[in-house]
Amino acid sequence: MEGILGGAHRSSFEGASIEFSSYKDYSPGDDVRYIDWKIFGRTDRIYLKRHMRETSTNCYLVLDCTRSMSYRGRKAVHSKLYYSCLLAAAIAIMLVRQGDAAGLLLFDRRGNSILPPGRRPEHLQAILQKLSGLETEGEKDIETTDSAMCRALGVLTPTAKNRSMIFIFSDLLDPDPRALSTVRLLGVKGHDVTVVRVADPDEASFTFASVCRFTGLEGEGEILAEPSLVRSAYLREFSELSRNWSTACAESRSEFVEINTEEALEIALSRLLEDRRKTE
Amino acid sequence: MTFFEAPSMLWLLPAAALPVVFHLVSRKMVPMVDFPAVMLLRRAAVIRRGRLRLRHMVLMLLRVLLIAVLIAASARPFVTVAGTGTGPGMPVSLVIVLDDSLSMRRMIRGRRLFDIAVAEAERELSGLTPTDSAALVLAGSPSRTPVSELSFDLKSIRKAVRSAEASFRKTDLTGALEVAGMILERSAPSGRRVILLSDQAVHAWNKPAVPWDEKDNIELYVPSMPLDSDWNNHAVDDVTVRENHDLGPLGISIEAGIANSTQSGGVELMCRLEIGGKNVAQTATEVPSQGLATVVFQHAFEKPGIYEGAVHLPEDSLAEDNVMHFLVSVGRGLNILVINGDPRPGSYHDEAFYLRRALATSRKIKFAVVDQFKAAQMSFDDYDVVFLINAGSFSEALRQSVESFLKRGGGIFISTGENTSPQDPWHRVLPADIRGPVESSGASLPPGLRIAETAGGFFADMKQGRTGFEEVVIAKRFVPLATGQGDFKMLMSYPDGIPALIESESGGGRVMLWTSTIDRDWTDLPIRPGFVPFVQESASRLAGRRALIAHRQITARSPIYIYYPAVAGSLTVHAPGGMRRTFARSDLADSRKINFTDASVPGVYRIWIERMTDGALIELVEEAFVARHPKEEWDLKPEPVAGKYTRASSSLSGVTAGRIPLWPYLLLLFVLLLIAESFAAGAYLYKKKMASM
Repeated sequence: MEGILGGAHRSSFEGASIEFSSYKDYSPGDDVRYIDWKIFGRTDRIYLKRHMRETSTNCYLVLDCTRSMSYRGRKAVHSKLYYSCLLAAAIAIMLVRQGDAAGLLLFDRRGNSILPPGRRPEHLQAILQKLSGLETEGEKDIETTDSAMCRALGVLTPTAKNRSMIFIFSDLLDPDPRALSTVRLLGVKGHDVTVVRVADPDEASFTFASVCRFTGLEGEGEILAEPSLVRSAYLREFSELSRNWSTACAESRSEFVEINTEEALEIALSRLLEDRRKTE
Repeated sequence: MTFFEAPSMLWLLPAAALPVVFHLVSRKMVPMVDFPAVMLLRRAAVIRRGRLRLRHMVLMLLRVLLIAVLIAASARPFVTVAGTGTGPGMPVSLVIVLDDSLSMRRMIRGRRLFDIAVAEAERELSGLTPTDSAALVLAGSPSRTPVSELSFDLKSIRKAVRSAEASFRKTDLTGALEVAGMILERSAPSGRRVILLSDQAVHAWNKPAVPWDEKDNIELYVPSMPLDSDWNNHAVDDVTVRENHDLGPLGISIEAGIANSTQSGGVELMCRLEIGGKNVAQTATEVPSQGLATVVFQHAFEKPGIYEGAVHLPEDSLAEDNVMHFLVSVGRGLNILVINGDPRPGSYHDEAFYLRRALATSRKIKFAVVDQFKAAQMSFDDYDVVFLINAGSFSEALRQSVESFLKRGGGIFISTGENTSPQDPWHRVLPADIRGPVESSGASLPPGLRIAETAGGFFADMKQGRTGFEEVVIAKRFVPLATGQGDFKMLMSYPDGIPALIESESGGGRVMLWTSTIDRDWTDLPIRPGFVPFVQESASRLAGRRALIAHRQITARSPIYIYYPAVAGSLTVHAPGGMRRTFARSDLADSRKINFTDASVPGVYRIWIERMTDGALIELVEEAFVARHPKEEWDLKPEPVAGKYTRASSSLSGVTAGRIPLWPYLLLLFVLLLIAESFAAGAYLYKKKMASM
């Protein structure tokens, strides 16, 4: 992580810290303060003791607010969006409490709304307020040629100048393949990107019983289907989408986490942070 | 060619579309579900949709076929082979003789026998090929031919068969077969065929039963009708009404003949007398098997009038002959005024002596005899007929009374005598100008009176009876007409054609002129047997009441003349069952009678005649007649035609031998389709079950 203020996060830069990183042969000009005298005493060779520099970090919480995120299936307690808001709020609180800066980027097909990262409690309050008053886009038939996610992440690319932590909460049902490329670009640029796919149990297991006329929430039209007959093919498509994202994230050293809204919130959060710890 | 035994079932064919309709309706009823991942679902469904649609289509097609085949099988299709029975390819000339007589109205196990015969006729017609021709003869007497020529338009013949109705006629199978033979005379000698659809009751045949012989080369097919083994039927055969003065002046006796067709034994029947729509008497009578019994009812009326009555029997298979209607006229008389132009104190010298005797024999006639002077002071309003006998010169008051009486529709009978003078001014009401009396010997008048051919009514009936008219001697004189022709109708004449009794319209009424005396001065007519009916019927005719006509009885479907006065406004016939037929004034010809041929249903027919003068309605006259069912039809004992002509069979096997029924094959196809549908549906459900696991 890279930040102006020192903090709790290990940085890719070395610096003053108690966290050991590695040894380095002394070269003229090196700061003698970091010579490990104990090693010199034992081996007569001069090594510099290198430590990880702990820095503060900027974190962007990116939330997909398209209509598909408002879906709440029969088994779920919360909609996907509400569930994502709770996760984002929890992460924002944790970040601000440990001195990191948290920012919020909301996007839907009508446009984006961004709160730049900030560390102050008032800023956290603003984030929480924004999250609590969140609504999905109203109109189903908004026509735009741009992918909402693509556009939002495109905004983020120049905005996040330092290497930032980015959490993207989305159901990833944006059909635009450029979204994948944009996420890959963010990863390549050194941002620590975590793509969180939030799915409803109905989407993940497709347990509808009788013939239904399924209507898309974002103007995709409707389709008459017999669930029992299309379930396996659907689940294959569902897994295929996850696999694509997972591969793209792996290629750009980003994280991909799948979360089901049926899951208890604390478990989902701990799983998310667990994955983060492994990465660090 | 393919035909159907029950083509009406084909109307159900649209029901084969039910699976399609159900499919479309169920599509509309599918619940709508919001689902965000429709994009993924669509990709998945694209993979499945083709197969799924095909499976649905196959299932739907199988179900449509299932229903269609079942309906087609229920219509019982068959294939005919042309010319069966007459050689390959030979066309058939078929005459269907359909018995539409009264006995065919009987109910057999809930169905009218005639309807069964019609269905059989339709079945036979559907078995014909387009090269075959057919005609239709109805066997109710007299035989009628709705399709009188052999026709290839089988559709029209079928329509004619369907529109035939069971009538109340008696049966004349021999006559109908004769007509059928005449129709077939014009056809090719081969393939001539007659199908007789009848109960062949015993009364239906004349001798010989079949009116053609072997050289006519006509094959007669007689399908057996589903008749009951015991032809149980009883009927009111006849009803006669007579006056019964033991019960008072308004008493009558009604004799009803009860017939029993049952062969197994006599029956005790409860007979019921109904008068004016009310039950007034009932009695039980034992009627022997195949025999008749007579039941006598007696009834006294409270007041004079024309009454309608009926004798009823309990219901049986042929309900129509269990009732017979009658009309009775009780105490309804004529009021007659006799104006005596030559009253004498000695009774047999009096001009009115014989006339009084003739009128007094009828209880229905009331009369008064006055001289000219008294008559001039009287009103004629209460009288129906005025007899002017040997009247001399009138006073002006009497002349006006006479003319006014005629204008109101009254009737005047004029007899001549010594007082009659051609110069009297009242003679303008006479049917024709007269000359002075001439000696009969001078005119060389031979004895005898003749009833004119055009007389009609009662006078026509008198030709048959013993009237003695042929011996009437005009002993002295008679009054010849000034001209031989005129605006009058001759009812009777002397042997050489000189008019004796003429009739004409005058004003609104009717005038009769008897050119001799009404006593024995000039003629011996008053001592002849026909004198009394002559006087009484002349009075009835002049009164326009026609009491005898009111009691006329005809057999249903027979024509009947209905008489009306010249001043009739319109004439309406009310038939049993509410049917009504009105003849407007413009329909009523000058002949003053119409030939009514619509008395098709037994019962009482009431006739209302409007009498009008100068466009104003002055009176409504009610008359009536009774139509009765034919007597001969009660005996239902079958007498099947026998002999070399008959190829009797239960299902016209001779004709239907070329039929190949198709419905068993259709049923087999139905079973195969059912199995296929079960497989398709089972596979579909299995897949569904597997997919949901």
